[in-house]
Amino acid sequence: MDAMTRALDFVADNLQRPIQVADMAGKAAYSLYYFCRMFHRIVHHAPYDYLIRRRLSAAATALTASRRKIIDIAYDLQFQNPETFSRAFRRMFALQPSEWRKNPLNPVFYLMPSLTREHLIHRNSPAGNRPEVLHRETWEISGWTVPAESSITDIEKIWHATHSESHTDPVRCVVLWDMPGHPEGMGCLAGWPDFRNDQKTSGWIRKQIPGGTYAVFPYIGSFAGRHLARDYALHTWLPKSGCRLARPMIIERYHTRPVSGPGKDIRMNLEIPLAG
Amino acid sequence: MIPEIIDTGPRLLAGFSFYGDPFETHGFWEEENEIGRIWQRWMAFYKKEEDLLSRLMDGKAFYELFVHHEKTQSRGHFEVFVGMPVTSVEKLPVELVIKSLPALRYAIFTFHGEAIRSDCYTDIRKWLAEAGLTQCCPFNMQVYDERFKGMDRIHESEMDVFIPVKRLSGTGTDHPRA
Repeated sequence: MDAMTRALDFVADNLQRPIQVADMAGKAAYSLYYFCRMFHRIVHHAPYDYLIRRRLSAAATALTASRRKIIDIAYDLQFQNPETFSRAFRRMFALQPSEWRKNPLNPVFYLMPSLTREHLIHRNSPAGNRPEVLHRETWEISGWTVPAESSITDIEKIWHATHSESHTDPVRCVVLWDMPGHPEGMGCLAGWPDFRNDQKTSGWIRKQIPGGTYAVFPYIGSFAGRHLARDYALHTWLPKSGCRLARPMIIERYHTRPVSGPGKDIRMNLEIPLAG
Repeated sequence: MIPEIIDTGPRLLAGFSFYGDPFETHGFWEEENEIGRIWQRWMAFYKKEEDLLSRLMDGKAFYELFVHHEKTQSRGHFEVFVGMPVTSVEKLPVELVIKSLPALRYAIFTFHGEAIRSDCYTDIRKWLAEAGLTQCCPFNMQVYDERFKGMDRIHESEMDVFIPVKRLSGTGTDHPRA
């Protein structure tokens, strides 16, 4: 794990330098062959695939953060010519770089994050990362919108305030979705599935969640660390699955009451909608 | 870890070959990687054609080669060849590919048990450097004979790694076993 973390940090620090997989192996102090094998096993990516995805994600960020020429951004990130860059960019994002610049997609759903030691610990935990793929009918979530980066304490207040703890169905949900123009870029709703609130509480909303195929990833860990499951689902599992995201949305289903505080793990299923 | 140094004549190998990321898996239906898949193909084919192949086989070992190509350092892509040495290419089934190895000097490293799964190539590189030797061809070879009992009996197994070598200039002489 330490060796792979060194390799990941090396990539993060050298995206704009002409590094190769052999250089990553050198940082890990492994032979090239053994490094490639262990990188697959621990990071769940091919080393070259990870390097290219990080470079393309950095390029996408640069396209929206500056007005620099696309070709200059491509060369900075070690793409040999504009055609190679455009082809790789389109393959990852299904958009030309110029199209991304005009209408960038939400980075949470589409840009490969820089993986850390915490990501590796999550990916290699006994709970595993193999999802269940299942079909869901259309359903509704009822609750209140909250900031996307709300703490578990704030979200628990929402759940507790809106639903009696004596209710037999313990499932609680948080739904996050792409919301262009929103200050956070994301909408977030904490609530209960298929729950009717007849009290007409101020601010109470209902959101329909389309039916379809969903990949369901179990997560056991801290509330603050649940982005690790999201990053695995969206940026590691999904590209290899042959599927794509049906819509930029994540559903978190909490089957037991999540508790906050250090050392307190939550149990949650993270769901992403699939197409193709 | 002291290797045996030998000189060999040219060799012909017949088997199956793959180029790309040898550790790529396809998830879902197939969890094994490309190396596992090529070995499965080879063993199934050998079993099917054993009558013919056993007569053409030169020796009693199977070979796994890792050949470095232009993109190996930059992308971690290798050519992986799995097969056997043959006395002749005539009468070989068309499904097989041929590898022609020139006459070479090899350093042979023997690994036991769990060391087979370790990063043996880092150890080999260190030894070669200290011995004033360097790899002279862009491939290395793992040889599996009756001493290898399978990955599920790795503790009872041995495997030889052949590295084609030459002396670094100005570093003395060596005396290989002919």
